[in-house]
Amino acid sequence: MNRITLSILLLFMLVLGIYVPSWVSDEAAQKTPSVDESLRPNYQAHNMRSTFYNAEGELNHLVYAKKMEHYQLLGFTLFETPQYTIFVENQAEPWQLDAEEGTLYENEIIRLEHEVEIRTLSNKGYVQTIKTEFLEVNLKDRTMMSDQPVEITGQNFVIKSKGFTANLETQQYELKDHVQTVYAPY
Amino acid sequence: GKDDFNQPIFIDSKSNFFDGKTKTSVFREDVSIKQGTLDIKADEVEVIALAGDGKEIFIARGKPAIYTQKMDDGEKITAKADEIKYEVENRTLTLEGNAELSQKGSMVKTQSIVFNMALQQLIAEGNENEEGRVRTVFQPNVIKQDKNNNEQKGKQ
Repeated sequence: MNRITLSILLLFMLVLGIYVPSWVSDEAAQKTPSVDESLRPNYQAHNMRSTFYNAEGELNHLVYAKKMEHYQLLGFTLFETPQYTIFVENQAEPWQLDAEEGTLYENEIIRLEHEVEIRTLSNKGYVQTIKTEFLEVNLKDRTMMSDQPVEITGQNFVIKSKGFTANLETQQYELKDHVQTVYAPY
Repeated sequence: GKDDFNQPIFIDSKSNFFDGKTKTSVFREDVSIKQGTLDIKADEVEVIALAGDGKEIFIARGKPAIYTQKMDDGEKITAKADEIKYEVENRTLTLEGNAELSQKGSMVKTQSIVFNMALQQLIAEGNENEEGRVRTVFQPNVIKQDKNNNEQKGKQ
């Protein structure tokens, strides 16, 4: 450790001492604006209508919403009075989902809230409507679930339950906390 | 009574699993079916609604499944079996396995019993295996009473 290396070391320390604080503060300065940015929607639309097809080019689902806001950084889209129309394989008529609010995550999971109603557009379907306050739908595998009270009505029955899971494609419903089913007299 | 059959059918149970395509449901855990005075208690009830509205078939299974109903004349009918099938449309009860039906003091114990609920009449009873005979136990006072009923029925 002769004098020359010592002096280079000292010089190096000096340089670091001057510049490092400014580098750190720059970075900090950069971060604060991006946090605000993610709170502002990247784009929004009114009376929005969009159509989605699957890989085979078949109609997958339609979305209509009075208002839509997409938040790229946060990874979700907010809808006001969304209406989803979901087309299901080998079922002639699609299902229609309405709600006051909706949040779509990565174009796959849609959470619908407040006055959620699912309706089949075929009057022959065994299940005609499903009503609840909260519903989560996986648009890819067409499964859905709720942990809120739900009312399922068919041609001549009404089922009440706390929560349910269902698959729109297989038409299988599971009510773990079933309350009561009523079959109307004929 | 007869008016029971114009009432809605209420099913209570812990869970319910149903299939919209095959139109069948399975209710499990503390299942009870009520329709007017008709009351069936079971561990599991399968409902087949394929034939359409008002033509549902309820299959109650239990250890045993228990059916009770009050008749227009106030008499109570009770039945027990491993499986009780209630066909809504033709108002028939089919008891299968350790079947027991008691009405007006008489009781039939056998393997299977078919009972018409509207007419309160036994249609068939029987045993595949021969050992268990059909046993009908009558309390004495009932026999005279039944005779008069039959005569009245004859006159109507």
